[in-house]
Amino acid sequence: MAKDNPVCRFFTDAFRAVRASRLARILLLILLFKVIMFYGFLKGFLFPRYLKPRYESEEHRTEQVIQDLTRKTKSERDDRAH
Amino acid sequence: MTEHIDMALVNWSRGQFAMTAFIHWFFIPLTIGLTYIIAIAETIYVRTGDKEWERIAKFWAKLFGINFAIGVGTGIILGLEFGTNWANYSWISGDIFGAPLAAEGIMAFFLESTFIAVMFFGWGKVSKRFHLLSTYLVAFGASLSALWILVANAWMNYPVGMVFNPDTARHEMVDFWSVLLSPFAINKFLHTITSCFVIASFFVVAVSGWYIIKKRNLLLARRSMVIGASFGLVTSIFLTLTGDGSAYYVAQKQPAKLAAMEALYDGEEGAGLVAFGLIQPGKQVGDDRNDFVFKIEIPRLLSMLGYRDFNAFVPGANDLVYGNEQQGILSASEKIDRGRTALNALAGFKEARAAGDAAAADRAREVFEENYYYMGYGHLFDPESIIPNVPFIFYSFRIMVMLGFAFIVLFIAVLYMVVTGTIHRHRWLLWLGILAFPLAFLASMAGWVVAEVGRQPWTIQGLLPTMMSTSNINANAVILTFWLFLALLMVLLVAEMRIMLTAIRKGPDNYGKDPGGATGPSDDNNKETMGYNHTSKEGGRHV
Repeated sequence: MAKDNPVCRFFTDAFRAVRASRLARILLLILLFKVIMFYGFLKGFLFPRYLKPRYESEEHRTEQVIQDLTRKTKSERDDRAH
Repeated sequence: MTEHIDMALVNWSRGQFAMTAFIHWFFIPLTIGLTYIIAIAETIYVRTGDKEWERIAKFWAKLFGINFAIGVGTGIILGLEFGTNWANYSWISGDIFGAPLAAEGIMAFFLESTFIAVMFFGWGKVSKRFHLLSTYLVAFGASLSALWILVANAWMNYPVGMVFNPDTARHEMVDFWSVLLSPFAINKFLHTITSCFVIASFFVVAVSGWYIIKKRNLLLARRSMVIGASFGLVTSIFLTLTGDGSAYYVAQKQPAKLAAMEALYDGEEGAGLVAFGLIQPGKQVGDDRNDFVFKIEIPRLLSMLGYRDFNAFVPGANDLVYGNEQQGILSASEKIDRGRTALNALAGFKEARAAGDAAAADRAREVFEENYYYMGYGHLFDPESIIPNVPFIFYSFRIMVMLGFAFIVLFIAVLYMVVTGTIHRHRWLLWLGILAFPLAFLASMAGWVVAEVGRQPWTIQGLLPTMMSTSNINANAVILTFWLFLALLMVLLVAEMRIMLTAIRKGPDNYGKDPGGATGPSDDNNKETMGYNHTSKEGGRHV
């Protein structure tokens, strides 16, 4: 039954076309390599574990950003006060 | 004052973003531009039923497929960099920046990726018209992807449609339509996407030219060249018009960028446009040395292009840095003072909120809102830093513009020669067409330099300097990922070039064969149709 379904047939034919073409197989391998590197290694492993700046919560992040934005002017105000 | 800013971190983060964006850009123009050329060839096939046009559409679709498969997803690295290296920027502008990017993912990417399957695998399985529709939808989807990214980028140059919430330290979008339809966004989209069309046109002209030089696939080459050169000519002319629009809005909203583009130090009424010149080496804002060693200037044109008035005053770098009372231009020092007032008020607001002093918080907020427009200036150390790198911007702008005009001439020459059937007698022109492909990339990258380096010192014009946009991470992490991303992207770029060159050398599938007893012309037939004569080198006219 599924063989008669035009959508299924479309995907089956596409799969056969990829299998039959060396170029398509190479491109598929490159796509697979990118999925593993971008989503598996970079986004799934390296980024969250080692590279992503760590904030405990959104409030903490807000505090951190405002602190960064105002640190210079705050030190100036402190200097003036002294 | 600067001790809390790690400039190594800032510079490596900038370098990494520039590197990844440039390599990512290598894939973009062909993805966006080739789809329209394929669609044109396929339209002719559907209208005429000529199988050669089907082969032409399939051939360029194959090259498009290689570029798409290798290039797709390289932008993910840029997205990761926003999170790792530009956390402050991402937080402050995430509400604005995130919306267009999400729209890209939901609308454009799904549209593009759904119909690309039909475009590649639907030949003979769906009706001709549905296949053609799919090709147009892929083209439309690719352009739509670009639209959202460019809207986000335009907002960084001309921030509109938002308010700053001092409680959360975020810009919050209040008017989506003014973000989407800002003149910067419209011009940036049209200018950038048109540049993609021009690059893709040169790709087609270059590959077709190579076939003609090698005397292969001649009918395909000639017909492709007609499409490539026509499409390239029309879009090149449109590119100059959108470039004019872009420059006009830069003059209105980013006068420091315009001053750098023109190396204009002292503003003047009826300012001339420097067609070409050599900037005085070592020239700095505020010194009294001559601006140029020599220059060729078109009188009053800069005033006209920037303000639509031949006598309009165009501010120079010195006016913007030191102020010009007569023209009502505030000095950078004054803006820095106001910016510091805004930042002090922001700090006071947070302290008052923490202490539960509502009245003090309201007062601080009022002061902050009065001076908010200058908030970014409060971070700057010296007034001269509001002017970007003048020689870099000046020469990049000229490379872009001069190549842009040269491309129009080249497209006209190629189109004329190919339509008159004499293109094969002008090998120099064919080689020039091949050389123009990398030059078109160079021109577009020079354009990006003008746009992005010209915006410095800001990530968000006037509101957030680049040095305040980075994350609180160690610079070594950025250095490590710089090399990692470079290696990864170079692998993809080299793979793209090798596979693409192999596919071009191989040529269209089944070319010269007649698999179904159809009307596929052989190479020999092509040579005749082309007007090729190997012995006499005389070319006949063929339209």
